[in-house]
Amino acid sequence: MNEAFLARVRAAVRAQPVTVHAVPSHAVVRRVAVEARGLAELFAKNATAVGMRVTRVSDADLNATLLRLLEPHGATVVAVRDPDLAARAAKSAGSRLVANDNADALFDCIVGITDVECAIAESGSIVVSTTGRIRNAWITPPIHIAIVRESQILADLVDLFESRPDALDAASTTIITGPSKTADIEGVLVTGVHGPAAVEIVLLA
Amino acid sequence: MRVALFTTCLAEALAPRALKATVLVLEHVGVTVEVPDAQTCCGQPLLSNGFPADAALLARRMVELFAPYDAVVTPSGSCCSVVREKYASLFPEDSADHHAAAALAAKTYELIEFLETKLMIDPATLRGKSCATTLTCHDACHLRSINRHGCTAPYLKAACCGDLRDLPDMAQCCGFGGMFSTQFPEVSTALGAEKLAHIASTGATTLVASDTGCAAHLAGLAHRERMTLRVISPAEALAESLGLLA
Amino acid sequence: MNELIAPALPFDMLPRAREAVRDVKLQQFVGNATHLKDTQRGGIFGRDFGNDYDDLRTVARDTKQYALDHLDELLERFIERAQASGARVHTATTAADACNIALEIARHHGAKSCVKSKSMVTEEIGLLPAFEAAGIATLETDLGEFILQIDGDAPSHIVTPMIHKDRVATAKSFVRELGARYTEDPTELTMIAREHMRGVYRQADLGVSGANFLLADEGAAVICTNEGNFDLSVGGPPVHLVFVGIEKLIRGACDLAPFLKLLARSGTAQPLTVYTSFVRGPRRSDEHGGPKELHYILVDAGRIGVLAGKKRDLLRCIRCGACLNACPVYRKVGGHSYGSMYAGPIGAVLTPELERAQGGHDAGLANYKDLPRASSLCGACYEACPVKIDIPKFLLHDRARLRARGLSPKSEGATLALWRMLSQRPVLFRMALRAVRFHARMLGKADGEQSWLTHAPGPAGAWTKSRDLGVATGESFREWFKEHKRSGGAP
Ligand code: SF4
Repeated sequence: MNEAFLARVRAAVRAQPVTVHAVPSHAVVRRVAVEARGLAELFAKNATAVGMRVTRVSDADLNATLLRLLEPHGATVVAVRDPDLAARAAKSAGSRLVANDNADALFDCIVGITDVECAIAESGSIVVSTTGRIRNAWITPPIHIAIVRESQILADLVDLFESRPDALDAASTTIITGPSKTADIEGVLVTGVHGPAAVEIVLLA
Repeated sequence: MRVALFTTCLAEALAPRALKATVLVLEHVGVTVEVPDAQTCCGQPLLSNGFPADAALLARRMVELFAPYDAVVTPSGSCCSVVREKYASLFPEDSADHHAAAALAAKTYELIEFLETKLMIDPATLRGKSCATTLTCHDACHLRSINRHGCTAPYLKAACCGDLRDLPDMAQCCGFGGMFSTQFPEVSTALGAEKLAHIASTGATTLVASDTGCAAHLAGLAHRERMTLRVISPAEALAESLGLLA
Repeated sequence: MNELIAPALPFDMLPRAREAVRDVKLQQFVGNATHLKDTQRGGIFGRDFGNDYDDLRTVARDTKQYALDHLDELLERFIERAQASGARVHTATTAADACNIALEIARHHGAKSCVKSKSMVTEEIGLLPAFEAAGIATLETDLGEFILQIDGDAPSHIVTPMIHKDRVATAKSFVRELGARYTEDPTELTMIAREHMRGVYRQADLGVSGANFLLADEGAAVICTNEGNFDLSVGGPPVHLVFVGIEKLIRGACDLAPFLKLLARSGTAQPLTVYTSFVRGPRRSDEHGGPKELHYILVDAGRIGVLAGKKRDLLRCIRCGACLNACPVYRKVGGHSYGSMYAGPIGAVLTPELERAQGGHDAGLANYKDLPRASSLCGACYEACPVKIDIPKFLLHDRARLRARGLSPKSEGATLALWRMLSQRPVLFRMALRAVRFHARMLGKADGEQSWLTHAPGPAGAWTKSRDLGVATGESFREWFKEHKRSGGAP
């Protein structure tokens, strides 16, 4: 069945002359150079511009920061791939912590804490995947706290595909650029439609 | 340099003053203009309405008529874009006709473009008598295809043709669109009405429209709606401020 | 299927367009929203790409064209790699085939409920009616699509489907269909929808989505949303179906960046959509969430025919909606006037072309005679298109075909034939111009060098139905020029 389909596509492709024989250079696509300085500032600025909140702290202050962010909230899932960060996040969550082996339980969580595969300065995005993280911990709870290390910041979206292709190896990878948004009703911006209304980024120096 | 005026059928019928102004402005900057007698229509109505083969016949006529000249200038942005962007594609690639059409395209200019890019005349040197008119300018959509959309107003402004005000939402089509204006009259006039409202909002009493069709459409709508609006071409705006036309 | 986007054929656009122009609310909603998006698009590209914008579009155009020119190779690679990732790949030649494949899978799993994220191709193939008929309750999860679904309405824009609809209609339908309390506040309305849908996500048997791109190298799909509804649709149910037109294939992640950078900026003036999600196979053994089965349903439904024809370029479209926002006609007539899920400039060429490819020679144009004419050829669509599809060129192409097949109004043809004859005979042409001047002088109201006609005779009568015609009745340009030369050029 697929074979017959493929044969028809093959014939269709041949029916017109090939006009582009090689993919052109993508040099113009890049906006931020790999060696650009101040990526952390740029990332923080752009992430803020798309509606995420960025808190820059030293590594030592991670727990205090998480505690402060978690303080008013309830059930928290920790979906952190990095074992060290995972332990520290779980400790901060304390009694709020819920088990992370049940996707359905995510619907009852208020906060999802994740680390990231990488972040992108140019667009202010973070990249999460299902490798070592329960799927949708960053979507289902109304609040997402993402722990990002400055060293994880890539300059440009192009770098995700050029230098971190492994980030896409997971069953699912998502580039997140802001809180869940809609403007469907008369163009009025509303956040928190299906995904989180708030994305808190804890940026570790 | 031998320069021919490409009159366009629409301007001959509806806007002879724009053609006079074009001749006078060109002469003012030292260019002698010739008018090939046998020119008629560039074929745009045929091309736009499903007769490309007939348009190609007219294209061939134009190519022959203008062959002796070094430059071909027209006050109509739309007709200019047809010669420039469409003519060659009416003939098979690599045919003699295709090359000849491309050669005509390469030497054809809309008036303001000719002044600015070919003659490289600084508009400040065209500064005429100060003129009390308030104007606003709408560019023909087809100037997009020759990368001249939005270029008319700045040039006229620099040449100080009266008090030239920015037209809000100039980018939106006035709704003329050739036969579209009669095929979808409700849509066409709704767009025209929107354009007139923007024009009115500037307080201008004169509209400079860089295409004869758009000018006729907007002037006709304004006249029907009893709105006082004088509609002229960029050539007339220049000629008036230079005192070449009363 | 909804009659608004799947009307009885042949489809007559004019009555709908006329009605839309008179609809004050529609004018306001669609006009404001499209103008705003169009301006914002210009703003973000200016800010982020400046003078490189045009080059970026050229890169995107050629990258996508390359994919189309090598679609057979890419398709083969995609199928192989997607299967290696554990996904199942189906190919569907017709809309019915695509629906049947989905129904078969649903039956196999005894599926009774489905959560669906936004997908144009599922609109095209009529998946929802097919599911409903088979007793599979299906929930549109994109907020706009959800509101349209519960109100029995249809999308009128590729990206912002309920652009024609306001909060009042939304509020009423929420009261009626969801038993919600009346509120017109967009945030409250959104939260009502959110709560309603969260319950459904948890229990659905089936997830359905489209895809924005297929990556051949990775055997993966890329789905862009702002709401996050795709991630929830794919995350919960045990089985997920991705419906996707074969033209969505590109070489791989290596070619993705230009499109991602263009898509959200062109559509909604965002640097990227909020969620850009990559799907690479079903749930893995060490995972706790995600679909146990992942199916790709690769849809032809005319695309192979388009690929083989003169309008291959149309398959470059990444459905960003920029051409709709830029189009003066779309702004006035709204999406439903186009009688298709693909409205606006791209719809005007794509709808008949897809129809042609499925229905045999010229079936498409015969069924949509007005679409190629519903354009002032202003070129705003071409200028806005991130993959540089020359839509006006294809409209002209269709107008020629309409004419050649005798599908255009005969009266127009007669006028143009007269014009063609005159245009090749300069002497007659001059005489005709003189006759026009003479008639205008006789019939019109004199006003200086002009005469105004309010009821012109003949073909010009259509013009004067809605505006006057000013004809220059004084000395002709040629007479003036002769005199001007004779007198030595002095004015
Ligand atoms: S034709 Fe171009 S502008 Fe229109 S939706 Fe497709 S990609 Fe966007």
